[in-house]
Amino acid sequence: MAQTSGLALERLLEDKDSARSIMIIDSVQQSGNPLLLNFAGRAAQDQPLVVLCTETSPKSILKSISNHQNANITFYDAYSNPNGWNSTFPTDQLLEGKHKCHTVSQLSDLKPLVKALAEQTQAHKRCTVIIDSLAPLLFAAYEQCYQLVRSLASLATDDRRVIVMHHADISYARAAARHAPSLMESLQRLFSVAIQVEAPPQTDTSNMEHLTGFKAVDQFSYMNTNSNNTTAVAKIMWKRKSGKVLHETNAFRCDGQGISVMTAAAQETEEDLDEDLQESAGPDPTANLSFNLTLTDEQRRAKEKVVLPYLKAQNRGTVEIESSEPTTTPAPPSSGSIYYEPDAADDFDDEDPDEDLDI
Amino acid sequence: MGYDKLDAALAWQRNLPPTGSNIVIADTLKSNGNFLLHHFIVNHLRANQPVIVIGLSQIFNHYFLIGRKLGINLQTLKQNQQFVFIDGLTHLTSYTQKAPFPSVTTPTTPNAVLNGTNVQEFYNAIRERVEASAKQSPNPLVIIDDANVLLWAGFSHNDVLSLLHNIRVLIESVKGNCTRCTVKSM
Repeated sequence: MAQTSGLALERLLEDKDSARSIMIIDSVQQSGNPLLLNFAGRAAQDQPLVVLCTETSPKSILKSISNHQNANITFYDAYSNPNGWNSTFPTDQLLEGKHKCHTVSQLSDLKPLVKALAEQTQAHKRCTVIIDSLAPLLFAAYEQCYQLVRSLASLATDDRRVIVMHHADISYARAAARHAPSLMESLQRLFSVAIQVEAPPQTDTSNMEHLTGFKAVDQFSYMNTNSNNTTAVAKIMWKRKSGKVLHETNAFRCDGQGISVMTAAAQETEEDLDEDLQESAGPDPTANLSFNLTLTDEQRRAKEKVVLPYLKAQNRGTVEIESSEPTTTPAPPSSGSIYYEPDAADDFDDEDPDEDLDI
Repeated sequence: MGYDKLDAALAWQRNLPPTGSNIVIADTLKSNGNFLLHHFIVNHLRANQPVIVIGLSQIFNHYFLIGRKLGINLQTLKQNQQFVFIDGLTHLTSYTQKAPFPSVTTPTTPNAVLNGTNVQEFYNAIRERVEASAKQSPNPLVIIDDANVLLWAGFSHNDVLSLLHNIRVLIESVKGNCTRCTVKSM
């Protein structure tokens, strides 16, 4: 649809502007899986894919890509046998007779994996690399995972995209992690686009009834299912090559087949509330006094007519000074500049500051 | 039929969770979620599908007594291989080295005992049972009750996560369902 081609998320999904490396940040509340699969599906239509599966099986990724017979996808399967416990699992297989699937059976040893991924990526002039989720890699080898991500992000060029998904709400309780810089920030620095997927702001249960068709009966009205909604909000931070950083919030809805991107509902209502609060925040100081501090209309008009005495100096002689009617409240000067013209008695002697004293 | 209102609320076909589903029950010490496990066990057995319970927090007798109240006899079902109980409580760590093993060939004998210091051995024992059960009838239900016991027993986070992940992959390969119970910290 022509009118949505301007939205950042739509441009990223369609690979219109070259965004080299994309990180999708999600949480348990709202999964980024549909978005990731949509990226994969759209990319598979016209370019080869290299997928490192850690949390979803290669088969389910293949199922979600429509028309996968014509696609060129290479899988690195770190999902089915990451610790090598299942000795009967085949090392290499062909999925659906066409797509190569290499099994990673020792996830904690990331060096060969990095090497294989880098080789595979460089073999194609134009491709998309997708890492399903960083969490198992971080659990397996915390220090090495950063190297993996960094080497992949450095491989990304205008024609080779790297898309990675990261779960924001897992804490890695490692001794090293406590003293290292924040993981989220370190990872975000490597990527040019960061998409944070969040649940839409909650309105009321009538929304739930509309989406799920389930009307909360009195007994279960304390339960609200507000995770993994079909509609979600994506906050995008896009660091462009020119140096400009673009922040945009889009909403998207996953409906089985694809994703439709919409503009997010404006956050105006929140800002209006804040202003209202500030206005009514403090008690009115001009009330409850024995004298009158308010202005009548005539007095207000007269006050506005007053020319301030030092206006000439402030505006460098553009306004005539005239005497004014007495005003009820003096107007404070907006800025202060000091003009100092030393006369004869002023003597700049740094050594003796008291020389001009006559005692 | 486990609990009628819960059946009505979940509204699953034949009261069974969809194939390949992975359910996590997270409860707290104040609100215990154990009743859900019995609900699932009863529903699954009534539909003639095998159930494998990896009992890390209770012995077989516990499930048997509650099952009896809900109307099923787990001892006969165990003899028919419809219900498999893997005992993960009596010999989980090295503390229980001197403890006697459950006596063999009684009605309450578990099908396997998890014994060892290595999660990989646990996985092998579980895998044997799950594959044997899946050969007999399709769509087994595997219940892990509960995952916290492994953490409390001293296994590292990585080990526990690896075990749970590998069990999940195993169950996907036999097209079963998996239900796990974890306890949220208070």
